[in-house]
Amino acid sequence: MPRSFAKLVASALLLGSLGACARGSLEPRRTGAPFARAMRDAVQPEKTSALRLVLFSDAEAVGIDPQTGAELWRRPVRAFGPPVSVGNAVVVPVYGHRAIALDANTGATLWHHALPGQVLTGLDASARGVIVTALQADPKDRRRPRDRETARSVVGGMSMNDGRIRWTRPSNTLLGVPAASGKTAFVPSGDRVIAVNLRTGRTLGTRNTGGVELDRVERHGQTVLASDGDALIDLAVGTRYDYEQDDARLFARVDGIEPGLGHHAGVVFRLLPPAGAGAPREALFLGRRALIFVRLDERGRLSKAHWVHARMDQHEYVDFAAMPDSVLLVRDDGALIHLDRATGRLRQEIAGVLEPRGAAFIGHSQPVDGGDDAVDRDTTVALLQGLVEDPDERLLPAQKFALTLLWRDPRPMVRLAVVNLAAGVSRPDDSDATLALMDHADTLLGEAWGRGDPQTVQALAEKLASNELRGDALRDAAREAVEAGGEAVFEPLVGLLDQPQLQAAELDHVARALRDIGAPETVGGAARFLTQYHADPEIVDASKTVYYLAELLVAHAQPDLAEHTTQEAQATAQAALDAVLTDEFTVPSLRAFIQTKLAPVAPATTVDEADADTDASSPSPR
Amino acid sequence: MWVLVLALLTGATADANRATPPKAARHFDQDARQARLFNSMMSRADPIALDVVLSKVARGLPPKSLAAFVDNARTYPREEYAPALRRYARYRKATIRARALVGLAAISRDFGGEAALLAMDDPTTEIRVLGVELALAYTAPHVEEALMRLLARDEAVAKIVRKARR
Repeated sequence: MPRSFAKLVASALLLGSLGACARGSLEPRRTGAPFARAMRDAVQPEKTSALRLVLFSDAEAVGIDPQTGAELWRRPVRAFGPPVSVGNAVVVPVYGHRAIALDANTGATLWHHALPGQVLTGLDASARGVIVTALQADPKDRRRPRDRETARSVVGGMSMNDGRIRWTRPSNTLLGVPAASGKTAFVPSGDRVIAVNLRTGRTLGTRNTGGVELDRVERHGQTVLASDGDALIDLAVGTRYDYEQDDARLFARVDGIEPGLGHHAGVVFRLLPPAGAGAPREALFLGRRALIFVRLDERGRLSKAHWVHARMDQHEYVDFAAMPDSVLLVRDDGALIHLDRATGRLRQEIAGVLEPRGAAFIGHSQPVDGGDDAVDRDTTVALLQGLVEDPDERLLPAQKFALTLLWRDPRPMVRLAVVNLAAGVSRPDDSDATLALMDHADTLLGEAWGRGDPQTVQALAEKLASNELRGDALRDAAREAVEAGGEAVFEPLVGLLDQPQLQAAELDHVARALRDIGAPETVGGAARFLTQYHADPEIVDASKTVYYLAELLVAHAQPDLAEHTTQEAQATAQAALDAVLTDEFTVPSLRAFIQTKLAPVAPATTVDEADADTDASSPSPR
Repeated sequence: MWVLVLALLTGATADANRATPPKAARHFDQDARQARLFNSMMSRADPIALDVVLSKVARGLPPKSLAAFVDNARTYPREEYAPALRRYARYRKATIRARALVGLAAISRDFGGEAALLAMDDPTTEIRVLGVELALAYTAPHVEEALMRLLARDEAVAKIVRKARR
């Protein structure tokens, strides 16, 4: 048979097979139920398998046994983008706009093939195939596109068996990094996610996310999330989660062009697959040589730190993987670090065989359950504070992250670290990192503290201002103002001092909250109350209210640091205390209390020093 | 109904009858002395006396002096007392609130209307009843409107008012 005839037959067969594939540009259509069906089919539970590790340097890929650190194989591979794993294979985008699939056990090449398009945007794979998004120059322009403005996007599907390109479809909008799951691929296109059949490229359904320019889709357990770099949208229900993290977006934005392996420079925020349905509630933040395991609230905001791990030497981490009982980190010298998942304590450190630029963890998909903290809160807070005060400028992203976590703490004494940093007390130098950190602290001071957010704080302020709370309800609301409040609660709390119908015990809750918050803005109200009632023994002795307020005034009249108050609040507090101390009618017990507090050698006891269980036993700014 | 009001004005309520705590006893004479001073100073119309009274009020008063101030403010009304009386209209003791409101109302018709509004907004039923009396004494459209609202929403006050009118 002549060679030309064989080519003709092969071409005819190829065209025939392509006939089953979708043609034309990738268009969003079939919104609603079809997309939901595609989602449901795609997110079936995956089989779990033992974790394997492949490290990538500039020129090599090395298979590593993550338990022993032993080198299993070594191959010359010039990895370009982040590798993805599927089953027993790892698919690596390599220089030359090609992809290579390696056997993770042996390093053998499974296939090696050119990628669709000309400049890689993103790549993912499932057992059914590889999905690739890329940029392609206009057909009239023969050169490779240098920026996304002069190029159009293309999406293509490749066979996982041999790397052959099964189908390609151009797109009129810029495509982001896709995700593959089962037989479905999810392709971010503008503010939509288009589900396509991985084998044929046929559009299965579209989810509109409402104006968010999507950059990436990722699968987390049984949840598929789209990201614009700042927030996540749960594609199953459309809920938006604003995961906060400074200087490290959820996923580094690619903006049409994959920035290359190791682009994250050791700063990674990674959500961990949840045990059940719904958005992830646990996350790990890698900030070069610090790793922080955090809990997120139901809206995706940082809630608290489970633990903190920070290296004392100068090495940085390249990447990590979380397992149910441990966290495996790859250090920049190739060493493998095993941490206890529950506590963050070092379990094992294994010397490395290669200085890696990137790493691929293969064969692990077990969900992580946050569970209860195994490390006590004070230890974690001390480590966060230590991290913030570390002068190493490389730690800035982790320090900002830590500072946010400190501000999220319900205890005013812990939040004081943010006040001190904003005032330049805890880091007195003027390096760029310190100034950036002070700026971040200053921003935090203007936000709600603890678990509070603008909506909940406003609701709380309105509840307090309604003057309808009594008894335990008022006590709880006052405590909430301390633990999760914001500036909006100052006025209603001060206003409650002037409500004569409040019982003495109820007034105590309000005064104690004001003392614990310790805001300069509330000093005027406290001074008015103290001045009005200091000479009335029936009022003074009826409760601890006057004493709590006196403590607040003393804290501002004689602040530990000038930055903890304002000149106006200090003057007001001092004037009120002076007036009370010099008035011959002041109730003696109150006078003695204030004198003790103001005495320079007096021990710093509080009204309720017996209430040792309280976390905020002395006045402090917020 | 004025029986209730008079009871408030004379301080015949539970908090007023409470025994003075022992620790305050040694201040008794000083407090009484200052109360007598208030009686004397507030009966005078000169600016120096007014200044003395106002400066003492601004620093906060012990119980007898406070009672003397609010009572004398009713007997010798002056517009300068209005800020202090407004403040005492929110005092934690009902007797002081009631007397401060009556003192405020004594200044002029305008202050009477203001006192009526403050009284009708008070948490104590007796003072709200006092507010009704003040509203009837110092009528104004906005005061009457507030009075109607109070009688419509406050069954306890409405009941007392109905009984008193029979």
